[in-house]
Amino acid sequence: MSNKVLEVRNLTKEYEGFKLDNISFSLDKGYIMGFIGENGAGKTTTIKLIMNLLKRDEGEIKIFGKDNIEHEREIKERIGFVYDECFYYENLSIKDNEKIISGFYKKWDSKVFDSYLKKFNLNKKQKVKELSKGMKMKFAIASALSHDAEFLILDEPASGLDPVMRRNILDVLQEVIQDENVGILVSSHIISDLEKISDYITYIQRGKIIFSKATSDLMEEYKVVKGDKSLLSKLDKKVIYGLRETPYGFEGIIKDIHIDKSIRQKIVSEKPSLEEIMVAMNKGVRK
Amino acid sequence: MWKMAMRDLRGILNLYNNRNGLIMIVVVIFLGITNKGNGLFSYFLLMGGIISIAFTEMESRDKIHISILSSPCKRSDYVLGKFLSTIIWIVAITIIGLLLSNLIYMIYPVENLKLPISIVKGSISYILIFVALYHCVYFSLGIKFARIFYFIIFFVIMAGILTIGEFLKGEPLPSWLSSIERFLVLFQSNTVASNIILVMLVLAVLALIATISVVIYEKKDF
Repeated sequence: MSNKVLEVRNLTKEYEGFKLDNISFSLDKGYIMGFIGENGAGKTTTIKLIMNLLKRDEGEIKIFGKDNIEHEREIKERIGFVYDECFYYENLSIKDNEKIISGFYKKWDSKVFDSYLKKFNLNKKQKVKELSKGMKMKFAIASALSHDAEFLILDEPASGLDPVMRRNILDVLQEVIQDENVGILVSSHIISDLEKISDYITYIQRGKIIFSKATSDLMEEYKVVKGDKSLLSKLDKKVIYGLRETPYGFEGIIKDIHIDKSIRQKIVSEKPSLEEIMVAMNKGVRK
Repeated sequence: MWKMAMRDLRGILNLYNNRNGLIMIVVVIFLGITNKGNGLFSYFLLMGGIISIAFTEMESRDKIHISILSSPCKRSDYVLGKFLSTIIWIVAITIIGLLLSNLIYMIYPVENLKLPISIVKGSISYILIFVALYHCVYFSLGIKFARIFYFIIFFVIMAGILTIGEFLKGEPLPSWLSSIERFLVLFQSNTVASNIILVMLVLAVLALIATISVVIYEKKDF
């Protein structure tokens, strides 16, 4: 039996002024994948395609090994979703919203839902419109986790939240992933959060996947290089991403290449943060 | 589809089970009793139609369709559930309206509160088709167009109910509506055959509107 929770193959979707171009990536059970990219890169478009909120032009999306459109209802029983906004009845209380949401899921467990509400300090009688953004997000997470979902999709769950609230949400996700049958796809442009929890990182830029690999491999593969400006002439600028020159030196990110030993001794090489990789990749190399 | 319809009805009842609902009923009874020549029942049904539309408006404002379509619910189920809930809601409102109307007539027996069966048949058909049309516009063109249609529909419902209501009570129809006079006989006649034809006709129109809505909604991006 396949261990894949999600398989996206050659997915294409074109709008006016934007194209999601032939993207492919996959996620196994028991792992968290961070889906990163700048605003407008195609993260939400990809997630909407996975959820069949957008119609794909070409390609294939399989969830639990099944086509996401042909087996839509069956698949969505096993998916928990959290979007960057709370799409529930604002004029109804959490309790009334729960009654409505629970009707969709065969495996809805009110006790689990109540336990999350308690954990998040949410009052069941409170109307959704009275909740703060962080509380709404917690309510959405509680809903996503109360029907035994095996695949969680979170689109910018931490956007607009303060660091404490963000940390809380990350802690919950880390707790959830202790169950090895669950896979989590989290999109965010708050890279530092994803760096802490993601096993895999998929980076999308202007509708194309730049890389999709294990976070640990990524950190090994890319290096921040700094050095005296005189050394720059001895390096191939075409392999330095996000090259930044100052009157005294240079800084950039290189990917998995072998630098001549004599130069390597003179330059400073450091482990980059995910954010540094993303920014450098976004700037690209000099041509 | 059934689940969706139940969800809709639960949502409507949750929103209108408070004093707002009560105030609306009191206003409708007041209008029905005081407006000479206009039936309480028609106002009551009109209120039912407006509540159904207002609920969809509220769903659109809260972007509920995003969470519904992300749940185990097909687009066709969502759309057809909406139509089914509209039918159930209007039928329920009709029954309550009938009971209320008869009760008030028993207490306060004035002629304009007397409810001919043709008014019941005409009003329910009218409201069902226009609420269905509103939802068809909503599902195919979006909320902005639906709002424009809402105002048009609102006045059409008002003008339609009042004009056709008068005709069904025996008044002559205005010249611009004379071409549908034959069709309106269906409402006046109370034979089993005419009742069956009317129900089939209304259901066929609703089915057509629902099918068009599903076909368009299936192709939409959100």
